[in-house]
Amino acid sequence: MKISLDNLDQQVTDSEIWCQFKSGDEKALSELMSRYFRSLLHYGTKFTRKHSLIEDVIQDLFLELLERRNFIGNPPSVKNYLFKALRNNLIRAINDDSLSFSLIEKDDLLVEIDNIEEILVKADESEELHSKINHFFTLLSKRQKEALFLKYYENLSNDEIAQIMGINKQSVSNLLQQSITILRNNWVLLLIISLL
Amino acid sequence: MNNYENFKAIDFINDPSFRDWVYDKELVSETQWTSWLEYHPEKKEEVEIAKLYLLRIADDLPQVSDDYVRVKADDLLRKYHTRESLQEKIRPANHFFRRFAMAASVLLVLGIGLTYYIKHKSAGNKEKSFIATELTEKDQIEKLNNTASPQVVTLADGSKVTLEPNSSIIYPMTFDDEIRNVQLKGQAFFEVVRNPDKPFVVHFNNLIVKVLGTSFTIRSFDEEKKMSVIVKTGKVSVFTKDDWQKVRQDINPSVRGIILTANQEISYEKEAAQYEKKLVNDPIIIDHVTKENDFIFEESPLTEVFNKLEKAYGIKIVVDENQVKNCTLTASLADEPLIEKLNLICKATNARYEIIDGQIVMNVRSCKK
Repeated sequence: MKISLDNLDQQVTDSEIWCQFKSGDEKALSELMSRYFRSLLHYGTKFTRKHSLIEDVIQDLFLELLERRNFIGNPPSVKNYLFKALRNNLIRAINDDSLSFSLIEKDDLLVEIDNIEEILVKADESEELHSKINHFFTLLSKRQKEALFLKYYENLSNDEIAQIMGINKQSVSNLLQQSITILRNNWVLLLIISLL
Repeated sequence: MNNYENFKAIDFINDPSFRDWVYDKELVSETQWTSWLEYHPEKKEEVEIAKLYLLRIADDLPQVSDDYVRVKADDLLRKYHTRESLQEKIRPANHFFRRFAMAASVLLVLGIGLTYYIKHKSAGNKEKSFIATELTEKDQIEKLNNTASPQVVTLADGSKVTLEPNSSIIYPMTFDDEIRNVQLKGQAFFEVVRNPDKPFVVHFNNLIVKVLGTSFTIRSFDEEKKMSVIVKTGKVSVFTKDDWQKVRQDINPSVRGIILTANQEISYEKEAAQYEKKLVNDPIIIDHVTKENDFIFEESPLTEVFNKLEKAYGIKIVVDENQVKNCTLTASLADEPLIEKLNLICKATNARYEIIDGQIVMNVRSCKK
């Protein structure tokens, strides 16, 4: 119970700060930055490794919000709102920045059977649990890793993830399902193979 | 604690309290899970899998100290304040000009020799000729960046100019029908929206850059001896003021200026009025289809390797086809800068390269079959 009350507290203060921010209060601007800089930077690493680019986009995002403060509403979750805005701006910035590769990946669809076979083959070679998991992660798409991050690290619901990523709930569920199939079905197999 | 006895890795992952423990979030007492594990050694494997999996989700997250966050928050406030001081001023005498322009257009309607008037004016001293320009090109806006960081200015056609500190740009509120003219002092990066019908022209010092749609940097500070134009994507032509006038007035339409393409740079020495065309320091891949992994070669013909590089970086590679026709390359050049790629190729094939006039000239010893 205590946890949910704490959450409630946080919610209230968040929206209070948001209101102050919208009235042009500089302290509120700096408080929002202090609260969310870390989470936003972490989320940003799901799109690019260039931390300086993410930091720039975060800064510009707050300045942009400040400029448009008379036109923005009161989101139910300030954090989710910021996540979604960061996602949009960051993807645009990355596309503008021709040094980076496109976010559009072909391998989004499935961790298919052949991939799993590949894992099994690899598992044969390496004994370390650690490297097997690492190998599995290299097979996941950026979007799958993003969904995993939001779900498990940020504790967000599928609905919230859908909103932030701008896709429907079913797609979120698919992305996550594919990403954890490996845990559900194949670990026993993997372990047996690695013991051989 | 719950009935964790039946948990598999997947169930642990879905358990918020377990996640908080793995991610070391403050809410959970450390001992709770560690002591549970001591009593359930048979769960060690499943817990280990779940733990590794969760850690992998968050593994490359940068460490961010509270101090760093504070610095960033302060930075933000400072930027907010300095942004206010990014000067945006419509030139001071503008009201006068606007009224004058209105009066002038009335005159035009009345058909009284305005054209003659402007021509007459532009023949006068420099300042007067500028007035004439303003009259014909409507409102000019000057932006001066006196902040300490680059500032982005968006022009009427959607083109973006990233203005470096101590630099200024003058541009019209709306571009006229034939040409998009802007004037630059200092340094800026231009990202020009493509419009073949309306060339985009930057005037700086005594040089002119003409483009249709591309991105490039111009550096031209009054106090510096050299000016430079660095092309990131696309193609630009550089003219001297004299040549430009010849082109504009159709005196000598064959004057074509110096053409620069992606990853090329021109450096112009003001005093000697001499220029040098070269490659930029660290050429980047401009072809979006090319991935770094395309530069892993196995017994690939050298001609194919060069073609790939040419296409990726948009830089001409000059090579004698006959010399290289039997050569192959097996090497991974992925994720190396262009210069390093070239060095590796040279090492592997016992070749040498030179950069001449912004192009790469390869000298390969012929390979035997």
